[in-house]
Amino acid sequence: MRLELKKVVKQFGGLTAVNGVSFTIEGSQLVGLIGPNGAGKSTLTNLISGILKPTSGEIWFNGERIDGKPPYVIAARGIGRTFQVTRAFRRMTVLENLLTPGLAKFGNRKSRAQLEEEAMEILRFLTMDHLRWEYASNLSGGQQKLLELGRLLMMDPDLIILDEPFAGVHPKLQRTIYDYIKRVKARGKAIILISHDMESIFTLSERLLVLNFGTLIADGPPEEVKENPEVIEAYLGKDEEEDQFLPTAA
Amino acid sequence: MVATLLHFVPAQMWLITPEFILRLLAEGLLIGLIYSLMALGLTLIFSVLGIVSFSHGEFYMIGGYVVYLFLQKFQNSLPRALTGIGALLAAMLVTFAIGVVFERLFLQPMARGEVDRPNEYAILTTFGLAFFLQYLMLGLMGPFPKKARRFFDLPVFDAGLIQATKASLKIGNITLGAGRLIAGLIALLALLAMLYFMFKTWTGRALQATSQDRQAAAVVGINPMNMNTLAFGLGAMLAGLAGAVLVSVYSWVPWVGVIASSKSFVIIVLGGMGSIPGSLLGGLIIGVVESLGTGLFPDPVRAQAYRDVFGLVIFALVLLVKPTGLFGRKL
Amino acid sequence: MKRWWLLLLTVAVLAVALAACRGGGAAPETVVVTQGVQVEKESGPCAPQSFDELGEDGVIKIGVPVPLSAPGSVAGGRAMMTAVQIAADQVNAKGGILGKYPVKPIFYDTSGLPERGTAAMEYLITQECVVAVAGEYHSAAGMAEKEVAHKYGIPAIFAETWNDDITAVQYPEVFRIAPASSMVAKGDAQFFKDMGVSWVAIVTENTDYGIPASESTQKRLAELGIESEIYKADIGTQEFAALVSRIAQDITQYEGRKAVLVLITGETSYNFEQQAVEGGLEPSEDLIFVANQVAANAKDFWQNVPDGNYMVFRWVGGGSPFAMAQREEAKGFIEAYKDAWNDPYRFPERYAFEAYDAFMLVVKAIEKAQSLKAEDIIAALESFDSPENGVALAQGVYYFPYGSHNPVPDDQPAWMWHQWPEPKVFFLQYWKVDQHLEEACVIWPADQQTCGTDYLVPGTEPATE
Repeated sequence: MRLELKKVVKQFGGLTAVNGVSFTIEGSQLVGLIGPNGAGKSTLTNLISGILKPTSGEIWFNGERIDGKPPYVIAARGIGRTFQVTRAFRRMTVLENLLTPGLAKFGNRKSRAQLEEEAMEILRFLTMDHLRWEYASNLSGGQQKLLELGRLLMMDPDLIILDEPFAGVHPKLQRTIYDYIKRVKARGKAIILISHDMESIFTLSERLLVLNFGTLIADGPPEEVKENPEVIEAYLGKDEEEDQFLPTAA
Repeated sequence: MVATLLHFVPAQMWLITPEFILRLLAEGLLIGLIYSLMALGLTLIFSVLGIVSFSHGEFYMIGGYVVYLFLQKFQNSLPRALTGIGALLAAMLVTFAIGVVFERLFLQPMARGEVDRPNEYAILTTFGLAFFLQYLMLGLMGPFPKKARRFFDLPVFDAGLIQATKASLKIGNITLGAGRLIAGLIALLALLAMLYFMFKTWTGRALQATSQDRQAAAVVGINPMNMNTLAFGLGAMLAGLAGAVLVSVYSWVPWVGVIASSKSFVIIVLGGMGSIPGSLLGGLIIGVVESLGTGLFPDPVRAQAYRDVFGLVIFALVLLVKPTGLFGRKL
Repeated sequence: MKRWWLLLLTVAVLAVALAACRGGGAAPETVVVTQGVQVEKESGPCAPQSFDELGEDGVIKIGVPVPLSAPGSVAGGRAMMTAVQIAADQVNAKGGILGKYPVKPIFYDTSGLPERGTAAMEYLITQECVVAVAGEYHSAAGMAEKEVAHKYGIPAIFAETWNDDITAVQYPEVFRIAPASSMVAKGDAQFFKDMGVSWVAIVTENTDYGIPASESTQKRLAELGIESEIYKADIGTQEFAALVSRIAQDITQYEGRKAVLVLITGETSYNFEQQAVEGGLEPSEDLIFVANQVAANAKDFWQNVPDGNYMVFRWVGGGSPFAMAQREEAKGFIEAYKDAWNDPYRFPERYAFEAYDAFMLVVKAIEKAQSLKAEDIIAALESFDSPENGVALAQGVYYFPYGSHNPVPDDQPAWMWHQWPEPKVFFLQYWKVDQHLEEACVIWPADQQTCGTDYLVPGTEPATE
């Protein structure tokens, strides 16, 4: 797995949301992507997953250039992502939600029975198997996040981008998500994790990317990044911003 | 004065027998099934593409003409049952094809974000298609009303309570036209097939996923552009099928789709825009309400003229209570 | 953003309504069809006042408003257009009016709508400079058109508009060769009386023709002791099952012979008629089913009402179709009409006859008056005041007994003004599936019967061919 961003820029009219970001992720790293609100993390995610097209710059994945390609093609290439505000298919059941990507498995159509088996395995791991007939709209916010994660795993992607997986989730479920992330990492997947939960980020990440006003201001192991003066200023320098450096309860 | 008042009193209450009501119900359901079929097509288009197709009625019209032309050409050379099936398939194919081609040429740019004002654009292009098709058929077929032969005649028999002539089936005192019986049955089969397709096949699932959350569907590997094309083609095909079964029941002229269009709009809003069960139920409700209203409205002079009003009254009442329609998604 | 779909639906409904009312017919033949053109200024009629004022080509223009798009009857308009074109061609084959001035019909699509009728007349009179107007099929449009004719003082001969008021208002410019609704109602009522009918279901259209016609018929029936019920429907209605059920239910109250009278015109009538048979209201010993007069168009009738055997239909005209086919003046027209439609069985519809004759009447009036002035043409038309002084055309001899030359007396209805009194009511009946018009039997009045019988009970055939 190799993801490479080369001077990626995204402008919306006069606003520059992403300003010449470059980095490379290889193998099965767990990379945390952090930054104050409005730093451009979600925009960057949308650029990588194909929902947005860069104004300039290149994005390469596994030797193929993917910037500007539509999301469903990028999903087929092996990049999966979740959304900050969960986007489960609300009028389908939990099981059906998990079946959608599998049934769309580009090229490689498994039988429905096989897919159901895989789906049930994932649901069991997420301790949601008892909810398989529930409509997604009836689940709690946290359960929906889990559902999105499960759906994501059905695609068996090489790179997973998790956008705020802990936000608004019950602590007990957070633990589950935390474990899930560790296990997925152990399976050899690369993960980009976006979160404001500093405790989790610092514990899980091997590497941190810090964005501020669309610019990448730090890229390195967590201990180093923590001491980076620019990073400190980015978080503490804003008046309205609360001190996000201390581990907060979710 | 008294005479006027009497008009508003059900003067012949004793005429309203249970059989009469049953007959009205049966007729309403039969026509309601076809309304549902058409509304399903329109709601499918709305739920996936997010636009209201103003050419829906014209696909209905084309479907009818295709059947008419097919039967004209082949009814003497092929056995009767085959010609019926062949005609239906031809109608479905032609309307599907026109829908797909139109969507690819005119609606894809809008879906790709290349159009400045997509809502207005959608209205204009589908309207344009409607006019084009109407006047194309006026030029090709002329204004004189056409009608296709029934797909098959009922066998003539008399079994006491149930009798049949070529043209109608009589159960007790309830007489139902053969053409509409066949139409209703085919519509029912088509509806069931569509339901199976939408809920039990992958493609149907993909359509539903796209209609529920376009971006989420995209990130799990579903191609929304292909879903758009499929939805529009299918929607057009369903309208075409509705026309195909009705061309042997109603006289066909190039503007026959105008009424069908406006009825479909009412039904999908009544049922909840984008909702499949909504369009099914809405169609049946409108069909039954119109039939009962026309049959039972106290003033016989105006009953038929008010036919559309009955449906619209129910429509207005439902929207007052539930603005998003019977099964509508919350806004 | 939230209510956009509601706005969209409103726009949709409005747009569909507008679309339904919009015109825009494509011209199948080579004649020019003009559409909604803005009148530049409030101007008067520009018709030439003398032959010298005609342009270099010396063409005399006559305006012909007809319906060529929905909601009007496109079939009716096309038929009339064909007929008028034949008339123009015949006149021009002889060199034109008075042998030297070619005549040109200017057609205008009124869609059967009053506002378009008004636009038609304004345009024809003030822009195209027509010297007279002949035509129109729908009473709704005709009612509006007569006002404009009167405003500008241009003579207008109405070919197929039946509403009594067209002539009842007694405008000097307005003439009518179509029957007035009341004339027809009288014939209808007498027919039912002679057939021994005790109750009639009158199914009519919600228009300026249908409503007064049904009320007139109901009144006449009552005078003869026959009860009736009126059922109204809109033009363009397709779905009649519930109405059929209702009539079938209502009919059970009455004993003896009943009847259904279809006053709705066009394809809507076919919808009703076929669905009526399917719903159990079929012709029988006790039920006389009078289909709408468009049933005379046999090919369309049998295709659209395949189970319509033994339906009766009315024919109003100078004579029955067979009588008219015998007229010397008609033969040329009938042949040319069949040729124009490339169909040897397409006997001209009544309104085709009327359109042909209305146009010819204008030509004859100009020739008699030897003038293009409106008042001279009107005077010429009024000079045709009796059969002896009348003009022999396809349907019969045209004359207008009442006008400014001879006011309508008190014992005659007001609509007799400038009204050709000859249209008579005939009833015909099909007795075999897929028959041509010429094979149907005339069953009423008794002295016109062609099969030696009146109403043929379904299942029987006439004794003599």
